Amino acid sequence: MLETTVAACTEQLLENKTIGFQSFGTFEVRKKDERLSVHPSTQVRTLIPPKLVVFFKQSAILKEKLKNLPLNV
Amino acid sequence: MYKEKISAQDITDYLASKASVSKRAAEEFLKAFIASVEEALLAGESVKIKNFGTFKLQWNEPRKSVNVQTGEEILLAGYSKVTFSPEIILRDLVNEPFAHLDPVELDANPIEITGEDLPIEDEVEALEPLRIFTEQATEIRSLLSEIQALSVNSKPTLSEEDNEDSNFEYEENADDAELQDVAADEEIAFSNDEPVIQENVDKVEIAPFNDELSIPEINEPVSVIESTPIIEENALLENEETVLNTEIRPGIEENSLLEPKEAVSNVELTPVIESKLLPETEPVKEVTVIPINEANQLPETDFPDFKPELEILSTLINTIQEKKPDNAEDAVIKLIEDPIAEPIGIPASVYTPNPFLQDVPALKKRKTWFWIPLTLVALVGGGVGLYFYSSPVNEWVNTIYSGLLSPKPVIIQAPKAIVVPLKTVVADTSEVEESVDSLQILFDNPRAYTDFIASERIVAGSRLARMSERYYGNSHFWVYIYEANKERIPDPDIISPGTLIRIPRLDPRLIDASNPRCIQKASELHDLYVDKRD
Repeated sequence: MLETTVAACTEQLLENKTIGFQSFGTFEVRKKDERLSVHPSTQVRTLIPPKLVVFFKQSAILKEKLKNLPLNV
Repeated sequence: MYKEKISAQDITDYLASKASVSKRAAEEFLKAFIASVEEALLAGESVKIKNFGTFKLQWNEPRKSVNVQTGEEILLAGYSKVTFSPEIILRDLVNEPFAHLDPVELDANPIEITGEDLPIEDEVEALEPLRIFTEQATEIRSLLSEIQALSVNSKPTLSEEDNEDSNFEYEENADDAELQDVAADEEIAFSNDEPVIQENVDKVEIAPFNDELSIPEINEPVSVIESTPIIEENALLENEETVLNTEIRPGIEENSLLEPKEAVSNVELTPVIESKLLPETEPVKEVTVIPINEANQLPETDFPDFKPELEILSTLINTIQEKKPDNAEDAVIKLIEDPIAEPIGIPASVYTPNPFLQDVPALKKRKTWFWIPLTLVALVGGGVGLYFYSSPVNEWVNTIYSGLLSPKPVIIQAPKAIVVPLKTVVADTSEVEESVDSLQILFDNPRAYTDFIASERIVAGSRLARMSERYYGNSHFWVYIYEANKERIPDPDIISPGTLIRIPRLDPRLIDASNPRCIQKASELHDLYVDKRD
């Protein structure tokens, strides 16, 4: 069942859809633009190509819950 | 980018149809699942879902900030945040459209990337030992000429006195030599007509070669090369000879000269040399028997006899080369050296090196002969790619191969070919410069601006240098923008607002900010245009 859920979510994400779970957060695919990175020690400048990543944003509800957490811990 | 947003409801519907369970069950499962993840996260744990990713709690420290409106400092409370890091499988799946892209190092010189530069550097490196050879060769040649002069002077002092003594010594030194001595003695006995001095010369001639046997075992050749007096001392110590036997001295010097040169020039292969030396010295000894016998029948001026000896030497060297192609250079050195050195043992009045020196065609053959194995090794190392990429190298290789195909008897005709490698080295460096300068060609060619990446309308305060920095990464390259818009910009320092200028697409090699030559070229153009205005 869990696997099916994961598979379903992955499939939806691959179709470039945003999955929102109200109480939890949203999953979406975001594109990271290409960028120049400089190696700190060797100073080699490298062009990092653009890529797509899965992005998760926590929902406001979850955030509220987490706010109380530090007090608990 | 528009993204279709689907809610938990859609997911449950999809899940239900896929797992063939009721929607209600799917919804309950999803709720329970999320709740459990949440719970675990709230408990401070991280949750990992297989094939999907990991949820973690990240604690953000409280930090100071400034209220934008009032400007007063405020303290933002620390908070926890759920972070999600996808597993590799998911990451790769999602990133599939861009999977073919790899990070590119920008600072690398484009010429290097095309594989033009590196093999050439290899070649230069490969030629480095060759240069050392030639330097040493010239050094030793000058030494040899000195020795020749010495031997001319000392020759008349030859005497018979120590003949027997030296014979004894050598019998002690090497058993093999003893046999040959005996043989030589027999020969002499048969031809009794010869004067006594002749005998003396013969014995003495054997002596150097005995030395040759003994010297490789003594491993202090480097000091010997410094000055001749030391050599003489060594010779005395080793052989316990009287100074009167002057004929031997040049021989020893010759041998000891041979030794250090091989030791120094053969930088990598010292153990190989040791093993190689011994087989070589033995055959040489055999060779010497011939001139000895013949010297008995002939007076001092036996130049013809010297030639067969050389030929035998050459064949010996050939066989050595066949066994060890890697050591071709060493063999060449010996080849060059031996013929020069050999005549010293023979009365110096007979030996005239000049004809060999002026033997130009033979010199040429030697040049190619010396050249080919080295270049071939370097080229094979450089690879076929080099061959196809760079046209100068291509042509060069072709000439080399054509040179290979043309027949060459080569070998021993030109004993004085030492001078030649210098020329080949010079030729080679020019070759390298040529191919490296493809960038120079790029500079020198008139630039045609046909392809434009952008156009910009000049406003007050616009600067070409700023645009250049924006588009090319370095303000120096503004000259190219100017070049492309010359008809619109009469003066690069005064650009009138409202002008529409176009930013040309440039060869990345031309605007490589990390390459000082590109900057220099741009600066030259800058001077050109600014000066023109004045």
